[in-house]
Amino acid sequence: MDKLKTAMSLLPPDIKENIEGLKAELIEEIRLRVGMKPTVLIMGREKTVRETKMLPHEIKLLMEKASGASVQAHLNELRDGYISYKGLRIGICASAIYEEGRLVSFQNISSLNIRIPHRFQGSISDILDQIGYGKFESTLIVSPPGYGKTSLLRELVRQLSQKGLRISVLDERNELACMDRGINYFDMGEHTDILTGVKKSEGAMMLLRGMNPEIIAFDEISKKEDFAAIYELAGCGVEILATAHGQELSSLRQRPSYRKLLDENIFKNLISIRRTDHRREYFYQRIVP
Amino acid sequence: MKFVGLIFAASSFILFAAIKLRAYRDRIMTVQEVLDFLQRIKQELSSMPAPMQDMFLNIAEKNPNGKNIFLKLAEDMNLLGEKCFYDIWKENIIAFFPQLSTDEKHEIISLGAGLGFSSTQMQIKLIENCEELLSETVREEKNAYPKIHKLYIGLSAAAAAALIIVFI
Repeated sequence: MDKLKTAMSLLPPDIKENIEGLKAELIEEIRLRVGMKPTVLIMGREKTVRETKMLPHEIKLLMEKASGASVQAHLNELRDGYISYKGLRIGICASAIYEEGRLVSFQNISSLNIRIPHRFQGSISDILDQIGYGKFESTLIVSPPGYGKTSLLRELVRQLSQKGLRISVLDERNELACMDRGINYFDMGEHTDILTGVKKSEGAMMLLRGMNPEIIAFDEISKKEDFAAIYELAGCGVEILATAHGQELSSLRQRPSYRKLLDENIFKNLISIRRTDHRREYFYQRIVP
Repeated sequence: MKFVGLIFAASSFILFAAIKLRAYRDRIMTVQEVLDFLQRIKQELSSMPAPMQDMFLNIAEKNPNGKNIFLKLAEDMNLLGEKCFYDIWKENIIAFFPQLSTDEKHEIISLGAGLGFSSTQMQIKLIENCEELLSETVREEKNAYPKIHKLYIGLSAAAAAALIIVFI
């Protein structure tokens, strides 16, 4: 099922109807906020899709459907600020409930952000030529949120895999393959193995031991444990393909955890994404001497 | 004419006593069924959190001879998005446990508002509160049952004896 259709199955009928009139391939996110008009994100700009404001009851109905009426079943994801629904990621803002210092639930949901994954549009042959198929070396993709890091990572994995490289994907949030009941929504290539729902810090070594990969790919390195996983992998003879939030190399160097990572020359290549009004541009940079 | 009236009154009383006794027994059984229903949900919630539909199906599979409220709840969970969990829960409680008193129904139905978005600890606490209330009811009614049974049986026997005397 098309991921936009999956997302629309969660929405009130009038919003669904209005979204159907828009160009599906342009919709990046559906944003719902209590007391505000619902919007869709198209090329970084929000467009209203209903004149009446979202009611708390509508948000609750959506959340119940997405969570199967059980917040507890999604608690690990919620602790990271989202829940997964049939390969979609839904970001959540709500009031957190703590018991004995642990986050145990959420109430009064105020915002939901349904992210719509898209198939990669365009060509990355230039980038692949620059990275080199034959001797792939660890590569970091960097861009601000919403610029298409995940789509580019997915396409790189697919094409490298098609060239015969053995790739293991650690898809912690199920955003890359968008797997639903064991079936990938996106083609990840012939030689790709995917581990979903496992934290990077635990999954990286699982993949290394169990799947004998040439490349391990994962999305969004941000937490302390993610960096620890990369350091562990770096000395094990496996190459890393990962993404990070940031503008470009100089902005990454301003953040201590990334600076250390770059100083240790773990990543040899960097791809940054820039976006103009209607298209994305990819810039390759060799970052080791 | 007086005899006919007496016969009618005595027979009606015997019938009334039988119906009353049966209703009383059914109510105790219903409350026990609800306690069992809550117990099974509590067990499932404490073992592993799962979406409600999966949880109801798991319970139904484990108890194939049990009441099919779990299957019905699981089936109705397909309506989530159009109906909220609370409404689905409420409709099923009303349909499957009609003998509960208004207060008891209210208590069990209000569980539906807390189950979906509470922590496991809170979910279990809410169920335990309901269990406590129902256990108390069942205990009181079980204790009162022999007296009520005796009263109705005694009065029915008296009515029957009166009938026999009239016939003789």
